[in-house]
Amino acid sequence: MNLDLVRASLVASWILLSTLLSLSHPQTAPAPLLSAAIFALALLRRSRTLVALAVALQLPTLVAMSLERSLVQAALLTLASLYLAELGDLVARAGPARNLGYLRRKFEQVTGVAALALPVTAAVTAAAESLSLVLDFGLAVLLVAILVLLALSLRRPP
Amino acid sequence: MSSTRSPSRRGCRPTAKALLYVALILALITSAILMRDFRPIALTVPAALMVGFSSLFTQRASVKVSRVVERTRAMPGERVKVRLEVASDKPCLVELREPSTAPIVGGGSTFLLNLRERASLEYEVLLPKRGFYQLGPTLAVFSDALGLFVEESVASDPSEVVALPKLMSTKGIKLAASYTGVWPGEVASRRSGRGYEFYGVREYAPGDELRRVNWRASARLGKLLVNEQVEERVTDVLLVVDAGLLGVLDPATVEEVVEAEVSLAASLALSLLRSGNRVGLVTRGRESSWVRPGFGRRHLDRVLYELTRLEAGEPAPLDYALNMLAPYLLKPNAELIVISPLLDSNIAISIFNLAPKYSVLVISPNPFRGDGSAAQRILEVERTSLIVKLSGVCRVVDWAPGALLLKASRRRALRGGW
Repeated sequence: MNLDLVRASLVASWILLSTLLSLSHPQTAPAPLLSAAIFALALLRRSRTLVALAVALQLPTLVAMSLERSLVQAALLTLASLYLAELGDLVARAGPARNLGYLRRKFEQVTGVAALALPVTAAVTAAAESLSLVLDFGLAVLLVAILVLLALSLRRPP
Repeated sequence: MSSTRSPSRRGCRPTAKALLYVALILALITSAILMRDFRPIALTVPAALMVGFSSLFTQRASVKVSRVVERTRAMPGERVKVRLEVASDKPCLVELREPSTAPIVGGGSTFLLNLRERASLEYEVLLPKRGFYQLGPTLAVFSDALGLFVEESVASDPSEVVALPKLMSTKGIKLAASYTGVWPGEVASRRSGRGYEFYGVREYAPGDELRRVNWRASARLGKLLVNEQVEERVTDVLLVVDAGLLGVLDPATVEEVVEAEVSLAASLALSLLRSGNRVGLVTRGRESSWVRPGFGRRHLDRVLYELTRLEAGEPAPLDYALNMLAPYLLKPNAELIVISPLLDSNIAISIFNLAPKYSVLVISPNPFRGDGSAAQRILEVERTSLIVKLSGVCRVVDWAPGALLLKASRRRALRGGW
């Protein structure tokens, strides 16, 4: 496995994803395009923070897509974005002389996780779209509270 | 040297990435609430599924690491190779973290391994200056597929590498102790025997070697006379290293002076112990210490260890330690070598007190270069005055760190000292 080739393929995939997002929602087009540049820079500089920033920059377009276009499409693009970001993070974490066997196995694992998540995401979002669920404000607040508690418990040292 | 230990777990903890996932989900829910629309919440599904499925790929194994250090003692500026022998009870993906207080110059401090059973890793550390450096303990880090949660275990004990003081030439330093031991050495005793210096002539006795006969004197007096030499024997030496009261100097000069002092003391200890003398040590710095005079390789190690530890500082007055320790550690008329920049007048008083009882040699590294502030010039004048006063009671070498000691001691001898 040539690491440079992997890096180039990842950047190309991210650019493709960003272009798709830009075309599908031209009002927020600059954000995904900027995200592509940041992702390329992240892999060049091996910066994990920049990878996270690249994902964050795609969020406005993904939210806008979920509101104005297909929910399934937006969710699948989110999954693709997270999958590519995970692979990018792995490459960024690996230095120039890392064990390629480790990277290959981790690539397989991340791909396995994304492959498992793909059909479930498609099914859940398709069902949600067909049921046309309306947000219950109380439920949303409860969800946020649960997540805040979860985040606080994660921050606590073991 | 190698070190191994059985692994001890440190528990599972979330990484920053796990918090980022939580933040992403929170952001999507918040945006849904703000827009009063359910659909952005649906985008949390892939993120939540990724987090959930990631834990399915978590692997754990018992990893043991054995560290083999090329050498545990080296000189400053040298590189030391370290090899890690990694063994696991089953195949696993593991990240090994090897913290080091010495800069790593070859390899890295983190190793990502697709470990089957055994692996051998290498890295190289640089020992920039004198001191102690710790390698390890090695941490074996296991994580799930996305690295959201990690579990660390300590896979090896730490190892210590020592950068010993640099050595320098000690030519020009001669001992003048009148106390000598029983073993042959390099210090002229007051007895006749085998040596190099002429002692006198005596009448020939059966058994004397013919080459020792002084033919000229024998012819003049009409009887056989033989030459006698001064017997050279070992002595006891107490090295006193003063790395205190340097606060008036800038840090770079302090470091230079202390390094010069330590280097000189280490070189003297090595040379004196090689000649069979017993060597003791008293240091004053951030931590004061003392070593009773002794000989042998282990004793040299002890002295070098204390010198490696020495750092500039002033916890206790040296004059007090000297007055208390010198009679306890050193026999009367033995050699007392004081290495001090002489910035403390109390130490001079102490030397005045000890000079009649011991053969005292003061080697004073000069911390001033004549271009300092007014305060430093005053200190320099005071130091020069102390040197002049001390020259009356003992031998004093005013030494510029970095210069040859031989030159400084010759200069002193030409000025009529010794």
